[in-house]
Amino acid sequence: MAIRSIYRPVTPRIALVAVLLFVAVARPVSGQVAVVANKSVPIDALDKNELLRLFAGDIEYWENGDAVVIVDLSEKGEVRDSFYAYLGKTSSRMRSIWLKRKLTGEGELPRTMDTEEELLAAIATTQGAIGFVSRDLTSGHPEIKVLIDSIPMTD
Amino acid sequence: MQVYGVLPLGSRHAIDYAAFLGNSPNIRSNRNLGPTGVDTTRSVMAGGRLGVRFDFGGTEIKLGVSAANDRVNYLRGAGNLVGINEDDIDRFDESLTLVPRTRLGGDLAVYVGRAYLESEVIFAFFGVDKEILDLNRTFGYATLGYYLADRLDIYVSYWITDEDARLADHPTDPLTTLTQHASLDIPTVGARYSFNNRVVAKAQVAYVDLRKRETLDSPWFTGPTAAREDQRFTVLALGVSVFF
Repeated sequence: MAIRSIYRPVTPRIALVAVLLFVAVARPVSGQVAVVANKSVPIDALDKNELLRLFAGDIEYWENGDAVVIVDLSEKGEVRDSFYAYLGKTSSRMRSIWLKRKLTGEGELPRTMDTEEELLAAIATTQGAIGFVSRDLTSGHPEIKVLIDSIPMTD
Repeated sequence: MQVYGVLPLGSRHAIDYAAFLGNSPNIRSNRNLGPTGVDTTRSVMAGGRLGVRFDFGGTEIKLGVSAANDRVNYLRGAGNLVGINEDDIDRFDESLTLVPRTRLGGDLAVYVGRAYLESEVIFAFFGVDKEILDLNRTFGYATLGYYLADRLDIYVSYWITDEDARLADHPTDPLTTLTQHASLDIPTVGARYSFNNRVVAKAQVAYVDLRKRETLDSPWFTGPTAAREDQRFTVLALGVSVFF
């Protein structure tokens, strides 16, 4: 009687499932950054140039008269780096722009949150607020709308 | 009071404009006390800037011109470089106290990736009675910097101030003309660290080179009499800025 080995060779189907599970655990399902805003913001989408104008302070008020409130993320990481790469500006350049506007009285510094969860909470509770988070975190927040949903994550 | 705004030029470029009216930055109004931090003049400053911004993605260029008009206590310790004050003028009267000043300037900034250049030149003209005192000043700076990291940048900078004064009413003799020239050259090297969007620490070393030249032209002397004064020193400055 042959001894049946308890070790069975891995079939291709099992291997494929294992790879997919690994990828799912290793990074977010979407791997993308979303631009989000408080639901009071009177637009449903915007392009990169408009986004840059908002974050640079060129546009200070929405069409409904609400002040544009920029919410930035302080923690350095893929989400923040990806967002500023999409804007075409380094975060240091954006900081320089904000400080100059503050010094000349032409604008305020953005609100800065330590985590994405805090940023979402700030946007959900602040009229006119706009910011950016991982797209995976945007669902289940009725106070928030997504304006851009496919900014790729940079490595 | 300030009015400012942006006019888009296409999708990425823009025109910036600003106009302001307010207190003159004339904080050295008392010769005995030095900088008082308080504008004691009964004057306002009016001015503005018109500029254009070109954004080519990773490269930005900003150009602008500016103008401002105010009145300064230039002859009562308000900081003229040549050191002229009311005691140097025989026929000094109160109309010379608040000296009208007009400043015309131009600025240029270039941002390429992590590197940046920021520069400005300002020409100041003083509306003093030119039969008594002819005074003008030029100020300029250029700063070249580079971001070593997201929060850390280093820079080198060069500041110059040139001032010329011709005093034709010397207290000792109305036939004597006093000509003065002062120049201030300050090369600087520094670093800046941003803890976050609101707190910035800065350290810089500046080498200050101050030169004064004075020429006394009088019929009582054979040929002009010249004098010079040079001062050179190094300054280490450390600071933290907190923005609310």
